Amino acid sequence: MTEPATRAVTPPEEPDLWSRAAGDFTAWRGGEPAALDRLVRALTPVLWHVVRASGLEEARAEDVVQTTWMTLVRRGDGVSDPRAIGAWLTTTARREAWRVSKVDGRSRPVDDEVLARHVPDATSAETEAVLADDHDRLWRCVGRLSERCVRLLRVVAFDQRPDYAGIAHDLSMPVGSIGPTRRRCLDKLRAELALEGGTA
Amino acid sequence: MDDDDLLRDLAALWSSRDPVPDGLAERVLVEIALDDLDAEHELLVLVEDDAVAVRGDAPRSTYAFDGRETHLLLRVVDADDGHRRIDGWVAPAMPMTARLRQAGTTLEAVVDERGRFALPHVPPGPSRLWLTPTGDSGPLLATPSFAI
Repeated sequence: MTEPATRAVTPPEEPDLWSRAAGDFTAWRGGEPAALDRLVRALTPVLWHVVRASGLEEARAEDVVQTTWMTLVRRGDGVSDPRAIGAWLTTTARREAWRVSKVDGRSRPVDDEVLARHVPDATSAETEAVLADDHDRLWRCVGRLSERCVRLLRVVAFDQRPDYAGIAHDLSMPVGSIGPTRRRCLDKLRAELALEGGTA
Repeated sequence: MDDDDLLRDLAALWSSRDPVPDGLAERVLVEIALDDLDAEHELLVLVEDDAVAVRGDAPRSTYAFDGRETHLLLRVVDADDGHRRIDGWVAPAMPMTARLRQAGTTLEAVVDERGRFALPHVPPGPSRLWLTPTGDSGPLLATPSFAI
């Protein structure tokens, strides 16, 4: 394989998730219904995180994920390049989430809600495994980032080819500042982790 | 720790702290299947929705649906422990299966030679009814959602 070295940052999770998605999408369009099942099972979690990053509460987020898949089933002809299926889905989901949150008015920042539910207490931290402890530490550090950083990093962490123009629109930022902001947010997170005495 | 490592950790973190709800993918697949069914079925139109109280304590509703060549009448009465009983009548009569779908469940009844069927124990909730001919021919019919 001679993949060009300039290719954008590949998603951290399961490097072949997106190529499998492209294969399943092609198979489904070729008349294999089971391929759509595989696609839905594989990418629903990704869509969930992209939608929740927009700040929608859980029930609304579920609706948006549903709507995204129904849009694919009804209007999937609009996807010209199967390799872009992941980006098409995440972009569709993000736009729908944005539309719904406009209709609903200002939604609560999701991460406050989730943080409140998961703030680790001392006793549970003692009994949990080291990994869980690392997670708690990372979670506390994420909680000290700005809402804008949290939303941006959550999308970037799950999306294949983050649609910077769309994200910039959602976060009311100039497109050109997304890259630098992403870097600043990651640096801030690393600094927070260092303060916590971690190995970042 | 480089950016990719950190983002991978973050993805794992969000996956465990705010995981995708159980069964969401399955619910999506059910919706897609129903959408496919809709494409194959003739959607009946609700022409009458009549809630009348009879005999004081036995409220009853009647729903009438029409298709191009088919009429469907549903009578809903209270059954035991908060459930409902549905008596249905399809005209013209033909061998069919009636399936009532609610969130997560499907109840099934055979339509008899006079076009009658009964679902004696139905939990309340939004419902849709699907009629499928058991023979080789006949229309595939579906109602819009209605309240039981």
